[in-house]
Order: sequence, then C-alpha cells, then structure tokens
Amino acid sequence: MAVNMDRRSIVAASLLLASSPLQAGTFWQWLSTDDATERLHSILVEYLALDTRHKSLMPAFIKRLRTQGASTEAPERFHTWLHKPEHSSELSAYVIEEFVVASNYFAWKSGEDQALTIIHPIDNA
Amino acid sequence: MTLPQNDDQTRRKTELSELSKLYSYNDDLGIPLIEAEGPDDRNRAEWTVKIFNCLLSLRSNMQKIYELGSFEFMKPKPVRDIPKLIDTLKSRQNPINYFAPDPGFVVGGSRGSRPATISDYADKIFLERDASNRGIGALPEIVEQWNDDKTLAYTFLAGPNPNQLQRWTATRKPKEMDLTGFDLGSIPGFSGDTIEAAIGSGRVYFVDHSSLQELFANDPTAPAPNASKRYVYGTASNDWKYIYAPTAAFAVPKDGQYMLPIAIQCGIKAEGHRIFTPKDGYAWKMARVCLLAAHNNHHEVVSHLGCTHLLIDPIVIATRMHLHKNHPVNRLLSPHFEGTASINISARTFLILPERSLDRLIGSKIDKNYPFLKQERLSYSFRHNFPKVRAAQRGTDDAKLLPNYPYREDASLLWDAIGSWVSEYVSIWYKSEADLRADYEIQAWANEINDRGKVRDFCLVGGGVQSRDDLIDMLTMIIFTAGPQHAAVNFAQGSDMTFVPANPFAGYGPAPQRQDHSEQDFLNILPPMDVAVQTWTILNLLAGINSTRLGDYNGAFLLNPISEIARQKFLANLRSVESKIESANAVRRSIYKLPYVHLLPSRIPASINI
Repeated sequence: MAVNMDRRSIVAASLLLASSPLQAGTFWQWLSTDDATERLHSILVEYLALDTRHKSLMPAFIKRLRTQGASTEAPERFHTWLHKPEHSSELSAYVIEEFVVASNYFAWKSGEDQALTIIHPIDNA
Repeated sequence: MTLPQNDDQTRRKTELSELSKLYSYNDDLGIPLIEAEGPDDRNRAEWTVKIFNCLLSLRSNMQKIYELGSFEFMKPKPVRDIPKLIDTLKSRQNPINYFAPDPGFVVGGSRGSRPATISDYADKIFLERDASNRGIGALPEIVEQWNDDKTLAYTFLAGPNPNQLQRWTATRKPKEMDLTGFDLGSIPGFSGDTIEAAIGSGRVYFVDHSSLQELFANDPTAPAPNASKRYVYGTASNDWKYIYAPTAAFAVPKDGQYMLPIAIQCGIKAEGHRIFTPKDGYAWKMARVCLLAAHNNHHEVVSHLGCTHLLIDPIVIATRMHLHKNHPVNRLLSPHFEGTASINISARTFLILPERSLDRLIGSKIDKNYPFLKQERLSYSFRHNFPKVRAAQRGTDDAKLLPNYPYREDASLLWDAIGSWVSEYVSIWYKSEADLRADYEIQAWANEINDRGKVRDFCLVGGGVQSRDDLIDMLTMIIFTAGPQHAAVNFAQGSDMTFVPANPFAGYGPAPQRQDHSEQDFLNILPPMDVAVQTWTILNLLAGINSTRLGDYNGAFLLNPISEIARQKFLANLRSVESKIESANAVRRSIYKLPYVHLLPSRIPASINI
C-alpha cells in the first residue's frame, strides 16, 4: 500500500481546489468535473496503490458516491473540505472509505479478484 | 468428492493429519473453542465490505448524535483520521474502534444521562434518516407498538429469544410463581375466565428466569444484591445497573388467536417479590422492564452466544480435523461454517470481555456470566433441542392451544426443508448402512464433537454415527442452528432491540415493590442514554451484516449433477417456505400488528458470520 504522503502536494492540490470556481458550487457539482476525477484518482493512487489504469473506474465510483456516499455526510461538511485546505485529509479519508465499500478493493487486494471494479450497491436487507 | 474408503486412503490420511495440526482447542471459558483460524476459516472480502459499509452508517449516526448536542460524552466525536484508517484497512481488525468507538458515559447536558421522555430514545438516537441508502439503522416498526401488552407477548413468540415459553400444567410450572387464587377474570381480555379453567385447558404459558439469581453481583457496596456498577475505561458511572430473576405468565383468551401477558413477578418469593398484573399502571411497566432485562440477558449469553455460536464452534474444528476436503459431508457443511471461527474468536477476545460492548449493555456483570454460559452450553442437549422435540417437551407444539406462534411455525417449515435436502444428499453418498459404517472419517468426526467438543447428546448411546437416519438428524440440526436459529436470535437484535424501551438489557433501579409508581419511576428504571447509544451502535452492527445465503453452496456441487439437482429441489422448497411465511405474516400483522421476518429464507445466511 503506497503511503508516501507528499504533504506539499496535498496542500497544493487543496489550495488549487479552494481557489477554483468550485467555491461557488456544491460538492456534487464539483464531482462532475475533470478536476474531481483527477483528485479522487490521485488520493486512491497515494493511499490504496491504484495506478493510472484505474482512472477509468472514476466515473462509476463518482456515480456510487452520488447515491450511497451522500448519506454519510452533512452537505456543509463537503463545503468545508472543498474550501479549507486544512481539511483536505478529511476529504482523502472520505474518498478512501467510500471507495473500499464501492469497489471490490478488499477482494482485489487479497488476490480473490484479479481486476479492480466498482460493485453494485450493497443489498443488506 | 468421495467417501474415504473409496479414495487413496494414505494420501487422504496424510493431508488430514497435516491440516489437523493447525487446529487446537481454547478452554479459557471452560468450553472447547477454536484457538485460531485455519486457512478455510477466513471471511470472504465481500463480508469485509459489508462490515465497512455498515460502520460508515454507524459513524455517521454517531456524529449526528454529537452534533445534536443533547448529550456530552466522555470521549470526543469520532473523526476521520488517515493513519488510523490505513491501519484499519491493513489489519481489518476491530474496525469498530476506528469508525464507531464507545463514546463512554454521558458527562454533561441538562439532564445528565437520563431521558426526559420515551421519545428521546428515538428522536435523539435514530438520526441516520437517510439510512435507507445503506439499509442500516432505520427506525424499526416496534417503536410504534412496544408499549402494547400484545407486543410484549409477541416478543416471546417472535422476538429475539423466541423459544423460552412453556405450557403451565399440573406437573410443569414455574419454580417461584404461584397463581393459586389469581383473579384472571379481572385482567383485560379475560372477563369471565378463571385461572384454573385456563390452566386446565392448556391456555396458560410461562417463562421462568428465576435461575438468573446466580448472576447477581452480590457486591457488598451495592444497594441490592442484584445491582452492579457500570464501568467504562476503568471509570465507574454514578448509577447502578440491575439484573433480575423474574417469572412471567401469559394466557390465550378462550377462542383467542393471540396471547397476552397476565402476571410478572420480578424475583424470588423469599425476597418478597409479589405479582404484578396489567392493571398495575407504571408498576406493571417497570415489571415489564425487569422481565425483559432478564430475558434479553439470557438471550445474549445463552440463546445467542452459547447455543448458536459456541455450539457450532467445536463442530467446525471437528470438521476441519476429521473430514477431508473431498468428503461429501465436508463439502455440505463448509458453506455453513463460513466466517464462524473468525467471528467467534472476535467475540471471545473483544465482545465479551469486562468493560467491553456486551458488558456495557447487559444487567449482570460479564464475568458472572462465564460460569453460567459454560453450564448452559455444556448442558444443552443437541437432540432435545431439535425444534419440534423442544416444542413438544415444553408443551408449546399444539397450534390449537397456542395459535399464531411465528417462530415455531417458521422454524418447523425450515427444519422440514433442510431435513429433506440433507436426507436426499445423504442417500446419494451413502447407498447403504454399510457405507456409513465403513466411513471412518465420519465416525471420528462425530466422536470428536461429542467427546472433545462436549456437545451433549451429539452421539446416541454407543457413540459414532449409527445409521443414515442418525447422520441426517445430526446434519439437519447443524445446518438449522448455523442458519435459521442464528438468524432468529441475531437479526431480531436490529428490529426489536435497538429501540431500548422495547427491549432493555438491564434495569437501572430496583424492581417495583408497590402499585403506585409514577411515570418518572418508570423512566428512571430504563437505561441511560449512553447505554441506549451504545446499544443502537452494537446491535445495528450485529444485525446489519447479512452475508451468505441458505441454499447457496458456492458452486460446490456443479461437478456432481445428482447433488446439484437435490440442491435445486432444496431451493424450490425454500421458495415455497418463503411464500408460506409471507402469507402467514399478513395474518400476524392483523393480530399483533407486526410481522416476523427473520426466518424468511431470503434473509437467512448459510452460516454464523456475525
């Protein structure tokens, strides 16, 4: 698992985020931008050892975030993450937590599955 | 897949011998339990995903409780933390510590830890209103019905601990309760009836928890022998929790289709406990709390942990040690053991330790329960607890005398479906009794479970497996316990127990001693809010993971068409059971206003994995 944290890059990315046109938008609007795809992918590369091939998973992951991932956070918290660089690590943690339940990450990591994919929403009824 | 006598016996014995070296018994609780997971005991990744998914919802709810500000807890609000998250992902050990840690006692707030009204238990705890997105933590139906006495009766027919009733007869009656001269006719719903007539016609039932007297803490500093201090992180709270040793009586009205509670006695006669009835206002409501606290303590320790998790545990060990992977009974049972060793080790090393989760919830001190658990588990007769045998021995098997008993009805359907499947499977692999007698692996397996595993009455007198019918009984009970029975006692924790007033695990004051108690007395005996929060969290986790499915054997029989055809028949039978239960639920809802969903085959996991 890649945990080579480059704090400066995180801060720089967060500042970029904070100064971007997203300020006026919501987290959910931001998710539809190329910037979001890049950011989410870079977090997962950094912490979960995904590689460039996995960027193709981001649209499906973002779709999952819009459905299930929305329920675990208050909208104002998303706003904070986007606009306050000191909260960027919370955004990273959020993305990691949601990715491991939106994908077959654990099966892929353990070798149970060969390819990393986004899975259907969990039916726990 | 083949029997050992038809295989390369030398190779098979060598492989089993190597594998059995990986397994040993842990005897810390005085019960033979698996010491460590073997290669076939690990959960699939899908299970881990479900745990994390559930925990995301639990943390979200916990954060909302903090943000609402009704209560101030010892511990700060759980937050996202990258290093701890990465550690949790790597180890997958106890992710609850990261996502939804115990908040500790309530230390501040205008009312301290006490609820102002009953609705606090819903309005200030069930905050994950978008729970439908993940299916975790929604407000259960029982919130609307819990206060009805009919719902109290239903708890004993279709609740978390649904097989404890006995019919009251001249020779089978509770040790401590005497209903001689009891005025049944004055109880609402029984006008014109007498207790003698009701007992004589088989309409009176009871639950006897007087043996829970042995769980009393007997702490000389406590206000009563049945009280003990609550501890979290080595810190004691300012109030005491209580366990009780109650007895309750229920009756079916003449020509009635339902049962009602008629009497509760909260402890033994020698301690001066009297009988309360539904006419006793808040004293009755307090007596209900005492009854349920004892019943639910018994549920967690005996019916759930002891008689499902820890009953199956030594059977897992024996299967791994004595049945080669090519043995047809190993193939049949392995999906029913998926995740069992893993969750049992977690329970032993985390859940049931002093000051940990279960100790927070139940009225007795957890270490007082260890000898009780040992005694109940080791004395639990495997064969006397086949569901129909148990019901017959307890006098609860007659649908005319005790109609609309959902657990009994649904368990019976499932027992028959499993029995048919197992019977067909056994006849495929054992063409004659001689085949069975020559199977030295299955004989060693049964003796291991009976002798070293200490599962009482697993073998008939003489030991081993004595006939194909004997093997069918053994396998049916194993599958029934790992699947339906565990589903019944586990998943009702979510529907019935997360809203604390409906099913408390402890009382927080002495049992009622007089009739003129107030609403405040009733509120004071209910659990404090920190316990209610922790109850919501733990039970939503335990009831929120539904992994594997009864009838799914992970493709084990695809290379054996005859077994696969039999399995397909089993699946068809389960679909038929599903529709019968759905139809019955319409009737149950019309009578008790609640369905019984935990034995719907579509909701029953194949194994104990949570």
